[in-house]
Amino acid sequence: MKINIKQIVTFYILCACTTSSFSVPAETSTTSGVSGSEISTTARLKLRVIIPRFLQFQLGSTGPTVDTIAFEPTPDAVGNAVAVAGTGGSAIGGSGTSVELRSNAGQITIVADNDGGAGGLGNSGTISLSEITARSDSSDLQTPQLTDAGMTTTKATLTDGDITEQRATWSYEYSNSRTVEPGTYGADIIYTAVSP
Amino acid sequence: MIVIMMQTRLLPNKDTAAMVLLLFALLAGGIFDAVNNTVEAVVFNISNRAVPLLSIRVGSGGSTINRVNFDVSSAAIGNGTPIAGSRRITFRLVIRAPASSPLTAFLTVDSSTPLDNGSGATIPVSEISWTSRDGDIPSGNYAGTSNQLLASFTSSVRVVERQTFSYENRNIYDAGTYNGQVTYTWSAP
Repeated sequence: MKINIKQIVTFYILCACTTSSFSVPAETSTTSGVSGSEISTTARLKLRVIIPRFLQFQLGSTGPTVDTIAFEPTPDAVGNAVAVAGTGGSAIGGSGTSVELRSNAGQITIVADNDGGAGGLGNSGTISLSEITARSDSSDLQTPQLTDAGMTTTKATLTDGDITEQRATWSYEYSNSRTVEPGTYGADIIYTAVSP
Repeated sequence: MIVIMMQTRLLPNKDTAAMVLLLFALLAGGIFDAVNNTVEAVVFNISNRAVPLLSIRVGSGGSTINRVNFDVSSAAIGNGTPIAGSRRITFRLVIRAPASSPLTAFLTVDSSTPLDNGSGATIPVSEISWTSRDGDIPSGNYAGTSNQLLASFTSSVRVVERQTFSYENRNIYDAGTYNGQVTYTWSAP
Protein backbone atom coordinates (compact mmCIF):
# COMPACT_ATOMS: atom_id res chain seq x y z
CA MET A 1 0.00 0.00 0.00
CA LYS A 2 1.53 3.30 -1.07
CA ILE A 3 0.39 6.56 0.46
CA ASN A 4 1.30 10.00 -0.75
CA ILE A 5 2.97 11.76 2.14
CA LYS A 6 0.67 14.81 1.80
CA GLN A 7 -2.17 12.73 3.18
CA ILE A 8 -0.14 12.10 6.26
CA VAL A 9 0.64 15.81 6.69
CA THR A 10 -3.07 16.62 6.67
CA PHE A 11 -3.63 14.06 9.34
CA TYR A 12 -1.05 15.60 11.62
CA ILE A 13 -2.43 19.11 11.20
CA LEU A 14 -5.77 17.89 12.45
CA CYS A 15 -4.04 16.34 15.39
CA ALA A 16 -2.40 19.65 16.21
CA CYS A 17 -5.76 21.34 16.43
CA THR A 18 -7.01 19.02 19.09
CA THR A 19 -3.98 18.40 21.21
CA SER A 20 -1.50 20.60 22.90
CA SER A 21 1.43 19.06 21.11
CA PHE A 22 2.20 16.46 18.52
CA SER A 23 5.10 14.68 17.07
CA VAL A 24 5.75 12.55 14.06
CA PRO A 25 5.82 8.90 15.05
CA ALA A 26 9.32 7.59 14.81
CA GLU A 27 10.09 4.73 12.49
CA THR A 28 11.90 1.96 14.24
CA SER A 29 14.12 -0.92 13.29
CA THR A 30 16.28 1.29 11.19
CA THR A 31 19.81 2.39 11.06
CA SER A 32 20.31 5.62 9.28
CA GLY A 33 23.05 7.91 8.30
CA VAL A 34 24.37 10.23 5.72
CA SER A 35 27.42 9.30 3.72
CA GLY A 36 28.51 12.18 1.57
CA SER A 37 25.39 13.23 -0.26
CA GLU A 38 23.74 9.83 -0.06
CA ILE A 39 21.08 9.09 2.48
CA SER A 40 20.87 5.46 3.38
CA THR A 41 19.18 3.24 5.94
CA THR A 42 19.22 -0.50 6.41
CA ALA A 43 17.11 -3.17 8.03
CA ARG A 44 17.71 -6.89 8.35
CA LEU A 45 15.66 -10.07 8.22
CA LYS A 46 16.74 -13.47 9.50
CA LEU A 47 16.00 -16.67 7.60
CA ARG A 48 16.15 -20.23 8.90
CA VAL A 49 15.68 -23.54 7.08
CA ILE A 50 15.42 -26.68 9.22
CA ILE A 51 16.36 -29.95 7.50
CA PRO A 52 15.94 -33.20 9.48
CA ARG A 53 17.83 -36.45 8.89
CA PHE A 54 16.00 -38.71 6.53
CA LEU A 55 16.31 -41.93 4.54
CA GLN A 56 14.00 -42.94 1.71
CA PHE A 57 14.45 -46.32 0.06
CA GLN A 58 12.07 -47.65 -2.53
CA LEU A 59 12.51 -50.96 -4.31
CA GLY A 60 9.86 -52.01 -6.78
CA SER A 61 6.31 -50.81 -6.81
CA THR A 62 5.01 -48.28 -4.32
CA GLY A 63 2.69 -49.13 -1.47
CA PRO A 64 2.23 -52.59 0.03
CA THR A 65 2.76 -54.40 -3.25
CA VAL A 66 5.65 -56.89 -3.25
CA ASP A 67 6.83 -57.46 -6.79
CA THR A 68 7.66 -60.93 -8.09
CA ILE A 69 10.52 -61.78 -10.39
CA ALA A 70 9.90 -65.10 -12.13
CA PHE A 71 12.32 -67.50 -13.89
CA GLU A 72 10.59 -70.01 -16.14
CA PRO A 73 12.84 -72.30 -18.17
CA THR A 74 11.02 -74.18 -20.89
CA PRO A 75 10.80 -77.96 -20.43
CA ASP A 76 13.45 -78.65 -23.00
CA ALA A 77 15.81 -76.14 -21.44
CA VAL A 78 15.72 -77.22 -17.82
CA GLY A 79 19.24 -77.61 -16.50
CA ASN A 80 20.96 -76.84 -19.79
CA ALA A 81 23.10 -74.14 -18.16
CA VAL A 82 21.66 -71.45 -20.35
CA ALA A 83 20.79 -68.61 -17.98
CA VAL A 84 17.17 -67.57 -17.73
CA ALA A 85 16.39 -63.88 -17.29
CA GLY A 86 13.83 -62.92 -14.70
CA THR A 87 10.59 -61.30 -15.74
CA GLY A 88 8.22 -59.06 -13.83
CA GLY A 89 8.96 -56.29 -11.44
CA SER A 90 8.52 -52.55 -11.62
CA ALA A 91 11.22 -51.74 -14.14
CA ILE A 92 10.27 -50.66 -17.60
CA GLY A 93 9.52 -53.76 -19.66
CA GLY A 94 9.02 -55.87 -16.55
CA SER A 95 12.59 -57.08 -16.54
CA GLY A 96 13.71 -56.11 -13.08
CA THR A 97 12.99 -53.75 -10.26
CA SER A 98 13.44 -50.02 -10.04
CA VAL A 99 15.36 -48.80 -7.02
CA GLU A 100 15.58 -45.30 -5.56
CA LEU A 101 17.65 -44.23 -2.59
CA ARG A 102 17.59 -40.72 -1.10
CA SER A 103 19.16 -39.71 2.15
CA ASN A 104 21.13 -37.04 3.97
CA ALA A 105 22.18 -39.34 6.80
CA GLY A 106 25.65 -40.35 5.65
CA GLN A 107 26.98 -43.54 4.10
CA ILE A 108 24.07 -45.87 3.39
CA THR A 109 24.51 -49.64 3.44
CA ILE A 110 22.05 -51.90 1.67
CA VAL A 111 21.54 -55.33 3.18
CA ALA A 112 19.93 -58.31 1.40
CA ASP A 113 18.37 -61.07 3.45
CA ASN A 114 15.75 -63.73 2.71
CA ASP A 115 12.97 -65.54 4.46
CA GLY A 116 14.23 -68.98 3.63
CA GLY A 117 16.89 -69.38 6.23
CA ALA A 118 19.69 -71.40 4.70
CA GLY A 119 17.33 -73.41 2.55
CA GLY A 120 17.40 -71.25 -0.52
CA LEU A 121 14.39 -71.00 -2.78
CA GLY A 122 11.45 -72.78 -1.25
CA ASN A 123 13.53 -73.53 1.83
CA SER A 124 13.96 -77.03 0.46
CA GLY A 125 17.60 -76.88 -0.42
CA THR A 126 16.76 -77.68 -4.00
CA ILE A 127 17.74 -74.39 -5.58
CA SER A 128 20.25 -72.16 -3.88
CA LEU A 129 19.79 -68.42 -3.96
CA SER A 130 23.38 -68.21 -5.10
CA GLU A 131 22.10 -69.51 -8.45
CA ILE A 132 20.33 -66.18 -8.87
CA THR A 133 22.61 -63.45 -10.13
CA ALA A 134 21.59 -59.87 -9.39
CA ARG A 135 22.86 -56.96 -11.47
CA SER A 136 22.54 -53.19 -11.31
CA ASP A 137 22.70 -50.76 -14.20
CA SER A 138 24.35 -48.21 -11.92
CA SER A 139 27.76 -48.55 -10.34
CA ASP A 140 26.64 -46.01 -7.72
CA LEU A 141 23.80 -48.20 -6.48
CA GLN A 142 24.99 -51.79 -6.65
CA THR A 143 22.82 -54.68 -5.57
CA PRO A 144 23.99 -57.14 -2.94
CA GLN A 145 24.49 -60.65 -4.25
CA LEU A 146 22.00 -63.21 -3.02
CA THR A 147 23.06 -66.10 -0.83
CA ASP A 148 21.19 -68.64 1.23
CA ALA A 149 22.78 -67.27 4.38
CA GLY A 150 21.72 -63.74 3.51
CA MET A 151 22.96 -60.49 5.06
CA THR A 152 25.11 -59.57 2.08
CA THR A 153 25.75 -55.86 1.68
CA THR A 154 26.73 -53.08 -0.68
CA LYS A 155 27.34 -49.39 -0.09
CA ALA A 156 25.70 -46.69 -2.16
CA THR A 157 27.88 -43.93 -3.51
CA LEU A 158 27.51 -40.66 -1.65
CA THR A 159 26.41 -37.85 -3.93
CA ASP A 160 27.75 -34.94 -1.89
CA GLY A 161 28.79 -34.82 1.74
CA ASP A 162 26.29 -36.92 3.66
CA ILE A 163 23.81 -36.88 0.82
CA THR A 164 22.82 -39.85 -1.29
CA GLU A 165 20.53 -39.51 -4.26
CA GLN A 166 20.79 -42.58 -6.51
CA ARG A 167 18.54 -44.51 -8.85
CA ALA A 168 19.06 -47.83 -10.57
CA THR A 169 17.37 -50.85 -12.08
CA TRP A 170 18.24 -54.18 -10.61
CA SER A 171 17.79 -57.23 -12.81
CA TYR A 172 18.02 -60.96 -12.01
CA GLU A 173 19.12 -64.09 -13.80
CA TYR A 174 18.79 -67.79 -12.92
CA SER A 175 21.85 -69.85 -13.83
CA ASN A 176 19.77 -72.96 -14.71
CA SER A 177 22.82 -75.15 -14.28
CA ARG A 178 21.13 -78.14 -12.66
CA THR A 179 18.15 -80.32 -13.36
CA VAL A 180 15.74 -80.20 -10.45
CA GLU A 181 12.36 -81.62 -9.57
CA PRO A 182 9.45 -79.83 -11.21
CA GLY A 183 7.69 -77.31 -9.03
CA THR A 184 7.47 -73.70 -8.00
CA TYR A 185 10.27 -72.53 -5.81
CA GLY A 186 9.97 -69.16 -4.13
CA ALA A 187 11.57 -66.92 -1.57
CA ASP A 188 11.15 -63.39 -0.37
CA ILE A 189 14.23 -61.22 -0.57
CA ILE A 190 14.28 -58.51 2.06
CA TYR A 191 16.34 -55.42 1.31
CA THR A 192 17.13 -52.95 4.06
CA ALA A 193 18.85 -49.57 3.77
CA VAL A 194 20.80 -48.63 6.89
CA SER A 195 22.27 -45.26 7.85
CA PRO A 196 25.16 -44.80 10.26
CA MET B 1 -2.54 50.51 11.88
CA ILE B 2 -0.48 47.41 12.25
CA VAL B 3 -1.62 44.36 10.41
CA ILE B 4 0.07 41.16 11.20
CA MET B 5 -0.34 38.24 8.91
CA MET B 6 1.08 34.97 9.95
CA GLN B 7 1.08 32.03 7.65
CA THR B 8 1.57 28.81 9.40
CA ARG B 9 1.96 25.47 7.83
CA LEU B 10 3.20 22.27 9.30
CA LEU B 11 5.63 23.25 11.98
CA PRO B 12 6.90 21.58 15.11
CA ASN B 13 4.67 22.78 17.90
CA LYS B 14 7.39 24.26 20.08
CA ASP B 15 8.60 26.47 17.23
CA THR B 16 5.09 27.76 16.66
CA ALA B 17 4.73 28.55 20.33
CA ALA B 18 8.03 30.41 20.35
CA MET B 19 7.00 32.51 17.38
CA VAL B 20 3.68 33.44 19.00
CA LEU B 21 5.45 34.43 22.19
CA LEU B 22 7.80 36.61 20.20
CA LEU B 23 4.86 38.28 18.51
CA PHE B 24 3.14 39.08 21.82
CA ALA B 25 6.38 40.42 23.21
CA LEU B 26 6.74 42.78 20.29
CA LEU B 27 3.17 44.03 20.67
CA ALA B 28 3.43 44.46 24.45
CA GLY B 29 6.56 46.52 24.11
CA GLY B 30 5.07 48.88 21.56
CA ILE B 31 8.07 48.35 19.42
CA PHE B 32 6.28 48.74 16.17
CA ASP B 33 4.83 52.11 17.14
CA ALA B 34 8.16 53.34 18.35
CA VAL B 35 10.09 52.37 15.31
CA ASN B 36 8.15 53.62 12.40
CA ASN B 37 4.53 54.60 11.96
CA THR B 38 4.68 53.99 8.26
CA VAL B 39 4.93 50.28 8.76
CA GLU B 40 1.62 48.81 7.78
CA ALA B 41 2.29 45.12 7.59
CA VAL B 42 4.58 42.57 9.06
CA VAL B 43 4.43 39.26 7.36
CA PHE B 44 5.79 36.14 8.93
CA ASN B 45 6.28 33.29 6.53
CA ILE B 46 6.80 30.23 8.60
CA SER B 47 6.99 27.16 6.47
CA ASN B 48 8.16 23.65 6.99
CA ARG B 49 11.02 22.87 4.74
CA ALA B 50 10.89 19.15 4.79
CA VAL B 51 14.17 17.69 5.82
CA PRO B 52 15.02 14.76 3.56
CA LEU B 53 14.10 11.59 5.37
CA LEU B 54 14.40 7.94 4.57
CA SER B 55 13.06 5.35 6.89
CA ILE B 56 12.69 1.60 6.63
CA ARG B 57 11.18 -0.90 8.98
CA VAL B 58 11.16 -4.64 8.32
CA GLY B 59 8.99 -6.58 10.68
CA SER B 60 8.50 -5.68 14.29
CA GLY B 61 10.98 -2.86 14.51
CA GLY B 62 13.11 -1.70 17.36
CA SER B 63 16.21 -3.74 17.97
CA THR B 64 14.41 -6.93 17.01
CA ILE B 65 15.42 -8.66 13.82
CA ASN B 66 12.51 -10.84 12.81
CA ARG B 67 13.10 -14.36 11.54
CA VAL B 68 11.19 -16.44 9.03
CA ASN B 69 11.46 -20.21 9.54
CA PHE B 70 11.03 -22.94 6.95
CA ASP B 71 10.53 -26.32 8.62
CA VAL B 72 10.88 -29.21 6.17
CA SER B 73 9.42 -32.58 7.15
CA SER B 74 11.55 -35.66 6.58
CA ALA B 75 9.02 -37.08 4.14
CA ALA B 76 9.09 -33.95 1.99
CA ILE B 77 12.79 -33.15 1.76
CA GLY B 78 13.74 -32.12 -1.74
CA ASN B 79 10.46 -33.19 -3.31
CA GLY B 80 9.89 -29.86 -5.03
CA THR B 81 6.86 -28.88 -2.99
CA PRO B 82 7.54 -25.37 -1.63
CA ILE B 83 7.68 -24.88 2.12
CA ALA B 84 5.81 -21.83 3.38
CA GLY B 85 7.57 -19.50 5.78
CA SER B 86 6.45 -19.37 9.37
CA ARG B 87 5.23 -15.76 9.29
CA ARG B 88 4.56 -12.83 7.06
CA ILE B 89 6.67 -9.71 7.25
CA THR B 90 5.49 -6.12 6.91
CA PHE B 91 7.77 -3.63 5.21
CA ARG B 92 7.36 0.08 5.92
CA LEU B 93 9.25 2.54 3.78
CA VAL B 94 9.14 6.32 3.95
CA ILE B 95 10.83 8.82 1.71
CA ARG B 96 10.24 12.50 2.34
CA ALA B 97 11.81 15.52 0.68
CA PRO B 98 10.80 19.05 -0.31
CA ALA B 99 8.69 19.18 -3.42
CA SER B 100 11.27 21.54 -4.89
CA SER B 101 14.01 18.95 -4.47
CA PRO B 102 12.44 15.55 -4.81
CA LEU B 103 14.39 12.42 -4.11
CA THR B 104 14.21 8.97 -5.60
CA ALA B 105 15.09 6.16 -3.23
CA PHE B 106 16.03 2.60 -4.13
CA LEU B 107 15.32 -0.52 -2.13
CA THR B 108 18.00 -3.17 -2.56
CA VAL B 109 18.78 -6.37 -0.74
CA ASP B 110 22.02 -8.18 -0.02
CA SER B 111 21.45 -11.94 -0.03
CA SER B 112 24.96 -12.94 -1.01
CA THR B 113 25.73 -14.89 2.17
CA PRO B 114 24.14 -18.36 2.08
CA LEU B 115 22.36 -19.97 4.99
CA ASP B 116 24.79 -22.05 7.05
CA ASN B 117 24.20 -25.06 9.30
CA GLY B 118 27.34 -24.47 11.30
CA SER B 119 28.96 -27.64 9.98
CA GLY B 120 30.06 -26.42 6.60
CA ALA B 121 26.90 -27.07 4.64
CA THR B 122 25.05 -24.17 3.07
CA ILE B 123 21.81 -23.37 1.28
CA PRO B 124 21.76 -20.49 -1.23
CA VAL B 125 19.36 -17.73 -0.24
CA SER B 126 18.27 -17.75 -3.87
CA GLU B 127 16.11 -20.78 -3.03
CA ILE B 128 13.83 -18.50 -1.03
CA SER B 129 11.19 -16.31 -2.65
CA TRP B 130 8.51 -13.92 -1.48
CA THR B 131 5.02 -12.92 -2.53
CA SER B 132 3.87 -9.35 -1.98
CA ARG B 133 0.32 -8.58 -1.02
CA ASP B 134 -0.02 -5.32 -2.94
CA GLY B 135 2.86 -5.46 -5.38
CA ASP B 136 4.35 -2.07 -4.54
CA ILE B 137 7.45 -4.08 -3.85
CA PRO B 138 7.15 -6.73 -6.57
CA SER B 139 7.16 -10.42 -5.73
CA GLY B 140 10.34 -12.26 -6.55
CA ASN B 141 13.15 -14.35 -5.20
CA TYR B 142 16.50 -13.49 -3.70
CA ALA B 143 19.23 -13.36 -6.31
CA GLY B 144 22.02 -14.36 -3.98
CA THR B 145 23.84 -11.13 -4.84
CA SER B 146 24.92 -8.15 -2.79
CA ASN B 147 22.91 -5.43 -4.51
CA GLN B 148 19.62 -6.73 -5.89
CA LEU B 149 17.25 -3.91 -6.80
CA LEU B 150 13.72 -4.54 -5.53
CA ALA B 151 11.88 -1.24 -6.05
CA SER B 152 12.26 2.52 -6.26
CA PHE B 153 10.00 5.36 -5.15
CA THR B 154 10.09 9.11 -5.55
CA SER B 155 9.35 11.43 -2.63
CA SER B 156 7.19 11.86 -0.79
CA VAL B 157 5.52 8.55 -0.10
CA ARG B 158 4.94 5.98 2.57
CA VAL B 159 4.83 2.36 1.45
CA VAL B 160 3.44 -0.48 3.52
CA GLU B 161 3.82 -3.93 2.02
CA ARG B 162 3.22 -7.37 3.45
CA GLN B 163 5.17 -10.33 2.19
CA THR B 164 4.97 -14.07 2.66
CA PHE B 165 8.00 -16.25 2.05
CA SER B 166 8.62 -19.66 0.53
CA TYR B 167 11.52 -22.13 0.40
CA GLU B 168 11.54 -23.96 -2.94
CA ASN B 169 12.64 -27.33 -1.49
CA ARG B 170 14.04 -28.75 -4.71
CA ASN B 171 17.30 -30.10 -3.36
CA ILE B 172 18.52 -32.44 -0.66
CA TYR B 173 20.81 -30.91 1.93
CA ASP B 174 22.64 -32.24 4.94
CA ALA B 175 20.56 -32.37 8.06
CA GLY B 176 20.76 -29.32 10.25
CA THR B 177 19.44 -25.89 11.09
CA TYR B 178 20.52 -23.39 8.48
CA ASN B 179 20.65 -19.77 9.61
CA GLY B 180 21.32 -16.59 7.73
CA GLN B 181 20.07 -13.10 7.17
CA VAL B 182 19.49 -10.63 4.40
CA THR B 183 20.07 -6.91 4.61
CA TYR B 184 17.74 -4.40 2.99
CA THR B 185 19.15 -1.00 2.06
CA TRP B 186 16.89 1.93 1.42
CA SER B 187 18.95 4.74 -0.08
CA ALA B 188 18.73 7.91 -2.10
CA PRO B 189 21.87 8.77 -4.03
